[in-house]
Amino acid sequence: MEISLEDLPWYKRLGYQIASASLLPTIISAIGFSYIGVPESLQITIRRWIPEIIREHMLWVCSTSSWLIILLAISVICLIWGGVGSHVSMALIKKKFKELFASHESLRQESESKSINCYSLFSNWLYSYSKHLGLTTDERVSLYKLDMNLFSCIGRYSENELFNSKPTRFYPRGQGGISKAWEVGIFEDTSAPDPVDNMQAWTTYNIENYNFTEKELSNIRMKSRAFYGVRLKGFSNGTIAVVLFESLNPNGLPLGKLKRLLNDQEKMNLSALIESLDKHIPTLESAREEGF
Amino acid sequence: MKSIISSIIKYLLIKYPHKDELSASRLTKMIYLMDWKSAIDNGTQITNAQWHFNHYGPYVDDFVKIAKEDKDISVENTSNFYGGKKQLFKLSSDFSGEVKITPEQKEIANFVIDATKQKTYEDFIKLVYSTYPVLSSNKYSDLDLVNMASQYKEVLEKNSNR
Repeated sequence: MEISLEDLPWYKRLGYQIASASLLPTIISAIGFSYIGVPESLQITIRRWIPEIIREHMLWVCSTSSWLIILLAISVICLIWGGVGSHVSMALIKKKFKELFASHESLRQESESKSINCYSLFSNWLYSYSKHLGLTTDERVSLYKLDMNLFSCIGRYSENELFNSKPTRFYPRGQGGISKAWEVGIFEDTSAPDPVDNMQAWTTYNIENYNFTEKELSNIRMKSRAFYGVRLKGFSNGTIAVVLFESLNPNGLPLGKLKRLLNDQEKMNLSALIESLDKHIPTLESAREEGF
Repeated sequence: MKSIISSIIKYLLIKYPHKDELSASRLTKMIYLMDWKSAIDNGTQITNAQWHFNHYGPYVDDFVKIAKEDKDISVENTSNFYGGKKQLFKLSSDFSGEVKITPEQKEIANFVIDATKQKTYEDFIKLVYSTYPVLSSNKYSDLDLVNMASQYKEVLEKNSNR
């Protein structure tokens, strides 16, 4: 019950906790009504079970008939508490069960499905690069695949959650570091001005070198100053993807280590993985071909 | 709107050839494809559903609820190929056969049926995940299909100009 209540505000949590403690009130109300319901001679016998000193004190406070009314009131309150409490608890349990069942169903569907979450798979692959290179929260690595003449991000990893999210846009074919790597194979640039010191200089640099517009640059969350991009070719020697490392600092990317890591063998491994998963990777092109 | 959704579900149940595939998930995603197709072609959704990108793609809570509440639709608990349980939607035996949907809605429903009827569940899911709203949104966000359709058309236009 504690777990299922933890997301609720404190007053609801308290209400549910009070409602769920309905066993004791139910027992009390049962005892109270049983006492009220028995003949008076039996009531006297029951009252005699109470130690004399307490009984005397009680009679000094109220008369027997007043105590009977108090007992009746307590029994009624406990009865309502027990009834409403169990109803509320049951409703809460039903609601939580429904939620659990829905999430269980979804998880089961996923586990039975042969669908592969390619974005997650490639992001995990890139995570291994990030760990190997010791990249920090100022760096990011992304994997892009060409989809309808636009670059689509099919995997991404950054230690910084701000830069780690899956992009919700597609990148034009002739723009940015991705297109440079696509064109020349291996691309590096560590010369961009510092946007913190001079945003205009950084903007101008990117407009002149990477074909961005000012508006597009203002929407870019990671204002990178260093890039290292590598083109990946498939079995038929056609370019299939680009891996792009970025850093907020001009010396943030360990270029020597990067070149050793992304050697021919590694590029071949990643290309082979992308090609073998190609039919599982969602693409705009496949939807458009179907008319969507 | 409830009656439109009910009618669309019934139409899909009548026309879709592989009746044993119409689970809650497939039905919901087929209606998503209909709404997306209508947003691309006509600039409006067929239903007024607010689509949400949940853990397993586009989703609206109400559809399954509406189907379950409709006396013409029965929900059968059955097993899938792997032995797991699934809820199969079927038309009740006393269904009168009358479905009120417009010719435009019918055309889009037929388009979605034709595009998906030969697909395995995995290929069907891939198609849904390949649509622009899903590819260009983060999980757990709302999908504004009409707005996204105009963005998508811009993308297609730019692409054709290159």
